[in-house]
Amino acid sequence: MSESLQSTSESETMPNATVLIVDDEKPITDAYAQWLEDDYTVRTAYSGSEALEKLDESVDVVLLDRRMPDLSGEILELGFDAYLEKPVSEATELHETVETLLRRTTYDSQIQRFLSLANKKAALETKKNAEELEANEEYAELTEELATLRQQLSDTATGMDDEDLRAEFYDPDNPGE
Amino acid sequence: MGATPRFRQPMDIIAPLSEQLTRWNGNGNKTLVSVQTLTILLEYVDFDTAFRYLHILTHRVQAADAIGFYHMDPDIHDEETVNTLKTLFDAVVVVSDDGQEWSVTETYGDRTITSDHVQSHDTDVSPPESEGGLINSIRDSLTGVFPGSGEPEFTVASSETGESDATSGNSTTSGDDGATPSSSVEDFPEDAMLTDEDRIRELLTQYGGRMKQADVTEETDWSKSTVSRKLSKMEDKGLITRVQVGRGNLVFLSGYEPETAKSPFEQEQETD
Repeated sequence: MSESLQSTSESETMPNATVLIVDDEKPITDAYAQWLEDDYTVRTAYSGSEALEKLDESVDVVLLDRRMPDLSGEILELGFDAYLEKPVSEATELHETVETLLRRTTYDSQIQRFLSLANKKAALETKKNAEELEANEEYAELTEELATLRQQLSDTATGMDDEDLRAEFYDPDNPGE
Repeated sequence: MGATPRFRQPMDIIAPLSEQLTRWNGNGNKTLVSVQTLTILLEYVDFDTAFRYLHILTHRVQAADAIGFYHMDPDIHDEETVNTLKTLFDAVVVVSDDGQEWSVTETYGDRTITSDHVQSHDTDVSPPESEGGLINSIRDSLTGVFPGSGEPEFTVASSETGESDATSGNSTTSGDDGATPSSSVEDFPEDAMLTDEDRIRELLTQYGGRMKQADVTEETDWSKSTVSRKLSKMEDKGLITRVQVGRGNLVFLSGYEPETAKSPFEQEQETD
């Protein structure tokens, strides 16, 4: 058991990822923190208000106990795409959960960036003719970055299973039919 | 029941497709996936979702070592939309209205090749081997996918197979391999992919937004009464409009009706 934990030296998906663990049951929070602290930067919070204090843009994943008594609506509105529905009893399981969430986060930001670059490139193509594009430095850079990003996206998506991808398309305003 | 047409979650379509493609992977045939039109997708979901959907779809097609063709009519969509979508694909094929001329342009490379060059006997302009392979693969596929290739102009984007994959890929549609590539197409659980209504919508789109009801019957191999029943349902939902012309009906996809017909879409918004 502990062996498999040791074999995971660092997050494969995102180096230096920061995880915020929120649970009002202190022993659980602390156990999770211990399981994760070798591989991630870990923050803990024992209440909803504390969670809000410790939450900033450097946090990549939040492990949140949704049944916490003082959980404010504010934190729920942040739109996390996964909660720990049941207590996790093994370090490896928790690692997998965190990695899954990191992959989703990574995919999310990569595809957003990809789409925004694709939009820019398309706008240039619409405005300029082939010769102008040829001479346009920004266009060359866009194309190059898109090609790189496309490969990265493909790598990220390879690690995502159907459930992960389903979450990608989850629309809180329209949760299923 | 919402006012918008029923849209299944993207993964309801991608997951079974992906599973089937993976099953076929390595069976000695090159699997070819043809998405007959991107128009309907773009019409019913926001662009952001459509873009992600297509990314995952192309990714899964690639992961299963298949080749994908995604078709759209550039006259329906603005240039910027087409250009943005291009970034998801390896190459863009533009086919002329009569289907006689076409060009293939790499999205992430400099190579462009046109039908002129391939037909030319001048060795100087003959494409390098690898390009010829890609081109031939695409052309073979096109011929197979569109039996009546005199159809309107299509922009065809080949999905992200690595170029080398595409070149080695003997298209499943050629069918002279001794194997039975065509059975792959028939074997596919089409129900998992397309509802009958989706199919009718696609047909209508292929026909430019309108077609004779009799043609629907012919294209689908459904009985006249089945077609009539399905169309009537779709008309109730505001997806299509039917207009009696002579002894038959003309079917219009919502948004393609002649000026005089009331927009069924608006009607639907009010009533549903």
